[in-house]
Amino acid sequence: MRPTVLIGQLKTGVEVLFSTKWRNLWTVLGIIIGVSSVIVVIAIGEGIKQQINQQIDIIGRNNLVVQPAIVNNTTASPMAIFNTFDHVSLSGSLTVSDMQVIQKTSGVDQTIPLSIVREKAIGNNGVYKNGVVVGSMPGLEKLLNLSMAYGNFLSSHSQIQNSVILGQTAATKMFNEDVPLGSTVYINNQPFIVEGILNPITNIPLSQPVNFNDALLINYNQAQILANNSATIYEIFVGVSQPKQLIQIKNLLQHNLNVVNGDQKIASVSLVTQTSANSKQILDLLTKLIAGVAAISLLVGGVGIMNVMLVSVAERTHEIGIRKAIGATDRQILVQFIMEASILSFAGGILGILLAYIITEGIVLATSIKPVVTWQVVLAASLISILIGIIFGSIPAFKAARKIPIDALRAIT
Amino acid sequence: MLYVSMPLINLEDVSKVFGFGDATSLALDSINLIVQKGEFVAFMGPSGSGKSTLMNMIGLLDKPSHGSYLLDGKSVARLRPNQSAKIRRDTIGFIFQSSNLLSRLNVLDNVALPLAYRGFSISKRTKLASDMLNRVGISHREYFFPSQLSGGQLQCAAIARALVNNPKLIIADEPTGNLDSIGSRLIMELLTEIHKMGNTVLFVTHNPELTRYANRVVYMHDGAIIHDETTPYGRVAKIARRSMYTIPDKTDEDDYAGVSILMHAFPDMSLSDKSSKEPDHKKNMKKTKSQRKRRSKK
Repeated sequence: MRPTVLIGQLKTGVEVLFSTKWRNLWTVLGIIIGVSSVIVVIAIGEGIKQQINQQIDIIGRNNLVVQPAIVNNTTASPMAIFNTFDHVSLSGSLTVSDMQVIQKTSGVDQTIPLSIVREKAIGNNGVYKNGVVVGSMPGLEKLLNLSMAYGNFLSSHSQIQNSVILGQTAATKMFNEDVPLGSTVYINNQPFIVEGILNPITNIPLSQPVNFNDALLINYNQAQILANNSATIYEIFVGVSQPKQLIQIKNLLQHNLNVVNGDQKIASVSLVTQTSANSKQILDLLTKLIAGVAAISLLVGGVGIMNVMLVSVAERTHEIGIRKAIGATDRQILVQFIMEASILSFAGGILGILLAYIITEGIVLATSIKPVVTWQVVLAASLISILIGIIFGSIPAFKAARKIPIDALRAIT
Repeated sequence: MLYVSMPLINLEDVSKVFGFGDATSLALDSINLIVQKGEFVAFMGPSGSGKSTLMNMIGLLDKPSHGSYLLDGKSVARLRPNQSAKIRRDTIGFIFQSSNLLSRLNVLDNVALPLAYRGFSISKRTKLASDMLNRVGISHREYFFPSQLSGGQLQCAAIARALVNNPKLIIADEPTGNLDSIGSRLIMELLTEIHKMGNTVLFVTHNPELTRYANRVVYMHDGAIIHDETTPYGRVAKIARRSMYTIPDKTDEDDYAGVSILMHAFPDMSLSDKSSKEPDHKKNMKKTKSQRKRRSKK
């Protein structure tokens, strides 16, 4: 078929699209919803994946992570993706002896524990219910790339032993002041002085079940005192002096820990990249699953387009008759109607992409997830929407093309 | 009549049957018709006599149930849909009673549509369509939509559309059916002009006056051609004249039998000519003879 014929049919298609625009808008609603949800789901998945990668970069590829063996599964649970952590969702925990074993293992340069103190934190506004008291050590800020909004991070040289660093949200919620540096926080009735406030953390720290925006960071030793030496250690970051021996040190560490724990693998040592591999796998699977469900709505949208095209063919039988009488071939009629259907579904696809854009912007504003819409996904969505038009438009188009000219001409419009 | 070696239209024993079983109706009954190039033929006859079916058949919108059809020497009775579409596009121009323009397109686009299906470029088809609209005298309505035009203008646009492909054969099925006498004259003069340029024109009409424009009048009844007459231009055909000037003397009996007034006007000769060829129409013929006898008794 010559291009000029196609251009003419394209023009007609657009005209038809606008001549019954309301009906068409309702028809392509399925496509709009389908396309936008597929894009949004993939964008969220992609965004979280990128955040995990960023985190790996931050924690460093030359570090090891020691976690309670069961924790690996808990942190990788589907709920983790939506950042709805229980603050203390661990079923197992590490002990002080584990910590000591790690420190003594050769090749280990730095040991930074993260422990949780199960005590209430009281600020000027009473008990901060979302607060979680975390005991850690200086050096964590470099490891997790935590930056300070005000004041300083925990320091081993600090004169004040009972100092506390507040997360951004905690600082705002617990005090009425803009910058509550020097204020007092009571944890288990012991006063702690606010020495620093963290900048907001947008990354979801997937490998830790703590939202640092809500955290009150105190020294590890203080945490152990508060909890009578029974503070739950849920994670220990291990810095390695010789990155080339990372695997050997990891195996040695695992062996030593197993020996301490009576030959049971209660603590598990893993590479930083490994810990996130699990969550990425599950995330991938979940993204595919949800995208698949959303794709069903595309099918439903396609059926809608088929219906409206069947109606259109019935309504325009007389027109088909006229076109055939003046010399349109079956193929020209076929292409015309397929083109109309694809224009319709493509328009739906474009609207879906716009809607997806709005939704992802909304997600960025409302949550800490940063969805990433890639051009490949947008291109694929456009092509798939055109394809849906071609597939579902072909049945009505065949019906139109096969009409006998004289019967079509007799049809009452 | 002067017969040239290859007629434009050659129908042999063409029949068209609609329906099946008990509901079968014979729309065309063994039609034999030869139309030479350059003829201007009027088809007359009461409603349901098969004129339109014949036009659709000749125009390849419909296929004959039996018989052979040679268009310009080529057999076209059993073509595939696409082949007949191409012949319609390239050699036949249609003018319908209702103009049948596409309401969504403006007049210019409507006229250019057959060219679009032929694959002409936009600029070329716009130019050709514009020229054609100029020729039919509605170039000032190029960008109007069909709903904004009068009946006569619509029909002019339809004629422009039929002519834009420069077809050999123009088929007009009651082109003046929706028009007043002035509009009819305008359209018929346009068709005459087209005919003078060498095109073959077939048209269906109920108006005997319009046979003045034709040089041949074919009269149909019950799916058969019962009268075929060559007339000089400007004269109303004999058969048409009779139907015009005969005082209707239909009886209740005729009404009951569904006999048209025009039936009384048939000349004897044409009937006897046909009856020898087509035994199927003896029944019709007998009816008219009996009517004639009855009239003479009166």
